Amino acid sequence: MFARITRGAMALLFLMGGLLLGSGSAHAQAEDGAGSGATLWRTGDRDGAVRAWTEALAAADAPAAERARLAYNLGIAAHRADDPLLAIAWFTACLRIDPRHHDARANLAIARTDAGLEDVDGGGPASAALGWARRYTRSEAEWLAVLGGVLLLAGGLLEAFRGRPARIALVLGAAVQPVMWAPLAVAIASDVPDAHMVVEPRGLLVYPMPEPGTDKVGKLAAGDVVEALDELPGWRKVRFQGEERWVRASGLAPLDLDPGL
Amino acid sequence: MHAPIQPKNPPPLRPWRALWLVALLALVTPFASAQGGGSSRSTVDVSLTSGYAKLGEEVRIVIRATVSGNRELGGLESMELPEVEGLTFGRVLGPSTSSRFEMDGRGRMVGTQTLTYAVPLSASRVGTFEIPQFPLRIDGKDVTAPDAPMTLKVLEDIEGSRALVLELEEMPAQVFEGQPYTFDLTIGWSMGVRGGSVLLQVPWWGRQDGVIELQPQLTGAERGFPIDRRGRSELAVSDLGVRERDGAPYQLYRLRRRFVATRPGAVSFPRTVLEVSRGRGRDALYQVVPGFSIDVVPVPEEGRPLDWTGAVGPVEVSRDAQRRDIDLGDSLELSVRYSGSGNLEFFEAPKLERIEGFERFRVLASTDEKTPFLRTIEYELVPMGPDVTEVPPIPLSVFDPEAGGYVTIATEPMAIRVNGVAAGGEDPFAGVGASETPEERAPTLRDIQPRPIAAGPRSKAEGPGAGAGVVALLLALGGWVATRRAVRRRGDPGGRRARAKRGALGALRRELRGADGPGARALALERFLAARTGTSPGEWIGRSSFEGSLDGASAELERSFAEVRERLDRAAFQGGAVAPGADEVVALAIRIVQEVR
Repeated sequence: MFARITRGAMALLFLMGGLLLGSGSAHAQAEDGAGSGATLWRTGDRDGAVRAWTEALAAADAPAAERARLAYNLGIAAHRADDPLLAIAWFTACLRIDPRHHDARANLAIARTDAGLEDVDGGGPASAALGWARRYTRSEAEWLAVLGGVLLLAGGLLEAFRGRPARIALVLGAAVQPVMWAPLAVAIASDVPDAHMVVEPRGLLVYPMPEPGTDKVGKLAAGDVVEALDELPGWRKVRFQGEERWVRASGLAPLDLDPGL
Repeated sequence: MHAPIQPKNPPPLRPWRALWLVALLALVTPFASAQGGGSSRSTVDVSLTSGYAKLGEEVRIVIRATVSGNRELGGLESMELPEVEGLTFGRVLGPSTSSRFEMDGRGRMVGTQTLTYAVPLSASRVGTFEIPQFPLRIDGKDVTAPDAPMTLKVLEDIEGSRALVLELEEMPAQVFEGQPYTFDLTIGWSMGVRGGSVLLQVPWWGRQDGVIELQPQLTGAERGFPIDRRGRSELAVSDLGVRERDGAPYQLYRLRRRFVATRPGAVSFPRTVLEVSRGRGRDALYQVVPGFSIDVVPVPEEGRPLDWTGAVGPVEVSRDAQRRDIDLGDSLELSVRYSGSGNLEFFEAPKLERIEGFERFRVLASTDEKTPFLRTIEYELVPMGPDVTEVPPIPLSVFDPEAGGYVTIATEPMAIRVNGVAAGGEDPFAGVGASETPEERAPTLRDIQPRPIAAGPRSKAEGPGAGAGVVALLLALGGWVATRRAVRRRGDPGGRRARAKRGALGALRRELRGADGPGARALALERFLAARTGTSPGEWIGRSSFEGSLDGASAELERSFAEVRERLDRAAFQGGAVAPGADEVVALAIRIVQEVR
């Protein structure tokens, strides 16, 4: 148990360090580390593989697709280490970069099941529609919304110049608006700045101050996603029910791996 | 009696053949009619090609049906050949057809048609054979032929038995199902035999049901030995060269094949004949191996081990490995070889996972190479701990035909050394046998992605922002409303007049395609102008100016219109003038559309 916590803390530390201190000269090393990670993984040295992938992830100039791949591999490593919650965090981080990473989505469903959480892409038409809307990045969703406006304008102009016979074009232009706006609406609704996920299976107690002696004001459940506002050694300020509260930093995992954020 | 033989029916006549036949009959009928009779009777003749034959020599029964006259001769419909001890009848061959026409003594044309069938027969021994009369149905009538029994005298070919060699190694009278047996035949002839060709008659080859020929081991130096008269089929035989026999040199060959009978019953080997023809004017030589059969009996159930997978002996086994001192995690290549005259290709390779002692090994892969005389199975094994000190014996249950019971053969145990990895301290395959590992609990988890991605943008692409979408939406709505209002000031764009105006040019083009004179073109132009101006076509009859109907038209356009109009009218009403073509009218219309909106 202690070893697992240590491994997890080490991985988080490397990750945070990488995000904060990323250096441009580390690119080649990151490539080597990423490649050797797979070799170490294949030979059974899982800790070595996790170290290599974490170091590679810390490289600030790694392409976004590479960061998604590394997060995906780290998710598998976490799952193999019997930590499905941390695996969920890695797979979610991967999907935030690359929403159409099908392997990550499949593994996320498995990890959520293993962690006792409900599948975000459950059955039914509504879930299917939601799943489709989630497959776009925020920027793609914004461009889709603009495209929706363009289509509506095209339909409107056609109707304006041609009258009643072209009214169907206006109707169609209006009809596609929900489809064009759904990804952006979902992205806005689920957007949490500097998102972190609770990876502690028992959940996290929420305190008004970063002091263990103070009375807790609530509890975050395993798998909850919160906005991180600030941090102190061992503590992280989060937004909880609209208020700024504090939780133990060791039970949170970051979901945004984009160095730009 | 033999079962009735049903010869092939003649093929149906194709139309063009029928036409030729009708033409031929039309040509022949006058002559045939002149003969004085349309009805004629057929005759059937049955005989042997020879009353004497050497043992091994093929003799045929020839059935010949002949008819004279103008009718079509019917074929052989059925025949019941007699059973004669020592004689074997082959398939009916034919028919071959012949027709001829000749003049009779009175100068009339007489047609004769003949069908000939042949039945090959072979004798298995020397002696005199009497072939009784037998019934057959030919040309629609039942006959019994021949008129008297036929006699065939088969003699030993003394010269052939001296000059030719055809010796078969002893064959077993009985084999077990799955037990291989060998057909080993020595073929040859005296060097004193000159000229001619050779033929090995092995009619059973490839025709024994339930028998599999094992892949022969050929060296590439074999010679093809003909086994049918047309030279289409050959068997590869080993050339033994010239060897001395009874003080004389002989050219010898060897035909050696192994077979496996896969089901109980009798495997029949009809006689094998070596035939050497010596050219024109000299008799062929024959040497014969009499026919025989092998009884195939099932492998006994009694005492059959549960793990027996079909091995029928004798089989021997050995094992080997290139490396026996390995590091933990390394694999060991264990080679197991089965040899002997057993059915090496027809049993399942032992599954190590099911053999006691192999729980401490992980079997990564195995390869299996099979030949009739050697089978090699390579296993790639990974010992799962440094405490593994030997590769256990690999047993195989084999049925021993000589003893009539089952035996177990096994490889010798092989000592190995597995060096533990001090640095890692962890068994890389520790989780393989355990049931609580995450790997087994989540078998569908997809694998890691090993290839680094070097190309691509560093950060997520920036979008135009959610506000851009809202702005686009508002602009679209505003643009639509403003445009609509502006357009509606000039009237309803969906109204009949506006649609006619928009479609005027297209309608003009369509009309001009069908207009075949200046009058029709003038009418089309009037309709075009009416649609463009919202007036009736009648208002444009005879007009040569736009005059208040098309505001904004230039003077030059007015002139062009007047000129086209005048030429059209002149051509339509006065004749002789060159009327403007459809292209010129369309060009004018396009200028009108462009200038006068």
